[in-house]
Amino acid sequence: MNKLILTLIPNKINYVFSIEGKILKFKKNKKGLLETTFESEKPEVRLDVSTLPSELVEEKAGLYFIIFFLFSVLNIFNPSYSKRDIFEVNYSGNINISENPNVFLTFIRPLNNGKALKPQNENSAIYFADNESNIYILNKKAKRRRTLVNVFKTLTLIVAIIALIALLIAGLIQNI
Amino acid sequence: MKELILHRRINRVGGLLFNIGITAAVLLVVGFLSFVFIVGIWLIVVLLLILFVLITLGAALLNPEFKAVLDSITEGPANLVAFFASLFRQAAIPLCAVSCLFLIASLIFFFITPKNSTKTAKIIISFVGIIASILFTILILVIKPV
Repeated sequence: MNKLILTLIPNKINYVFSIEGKILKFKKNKKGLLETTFESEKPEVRLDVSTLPSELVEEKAGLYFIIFFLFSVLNIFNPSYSKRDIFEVNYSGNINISENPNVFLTFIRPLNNGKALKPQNENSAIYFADNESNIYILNKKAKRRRTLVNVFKTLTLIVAIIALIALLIAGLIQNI
Repeated sequence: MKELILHRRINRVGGLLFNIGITAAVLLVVGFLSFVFIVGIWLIVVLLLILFVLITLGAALLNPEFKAVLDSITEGPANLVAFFASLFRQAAIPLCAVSCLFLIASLIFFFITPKNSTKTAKIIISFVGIIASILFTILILVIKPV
């Protein structure tokens, strides 16, 4: 039986790792790194890495946005939509596991068409197939929607602060 | 994949509740501190004004008209504190209820979701927020402004 140990530095990216179609579940090891093992009879397996689409472009995004918009008082209390979510990864490559390798990977900071996964040591670089699919792809629709949401949130915040100050001054004038 | 999307949504709901709860808790703390700080700021302004007047007018302090103006200035902090005291006394209990309920709800959401980079920090802040809101609500209701 061939065995692959896959180690990952913890990060905020919403990733999905799968080998031969089987989704991998990572667990924290003693060093605080995320680790998983995969066993197979095959000497070479297919590794797929993808990321979750942004909340602003996923299925029923409009409906969920309206619900959160109303419950968060015109988006004021809604947690911001992360910039890293507007980038997507769809990596696919083969890994030779006949020598029971320990592949140690990390996600690089997202940049349009920039590298997504980087091997952390020389040994990992030998086994990890760094091909053209190992890049971040910018989702333009998600970027446009995120910009709109941020602009609207800033405007709402400014109006809310002005209204609050006006109410406070009015109260003070009445009281003094 | 669907499970991850669900966890992300639960995180967003938890974050939303946390933001509302912590804002209410911060308002309570700021409300109580305003009792003290407004008096401090007002005193500095009044002292600077008195200094300016003393330098420029000197003996004018003996003038009865000036004395009347000085008296009206020193009444300021009392009015301001009274305004903030009444404002926060009325709002203290509703704010405390909002803060505690929303922070408890956010804690429930944070506990049921496994993946969140800021989970531990938010759980600690929520606990501190609940304690602070109860404490400062009691202080606002019990302690008389300076």
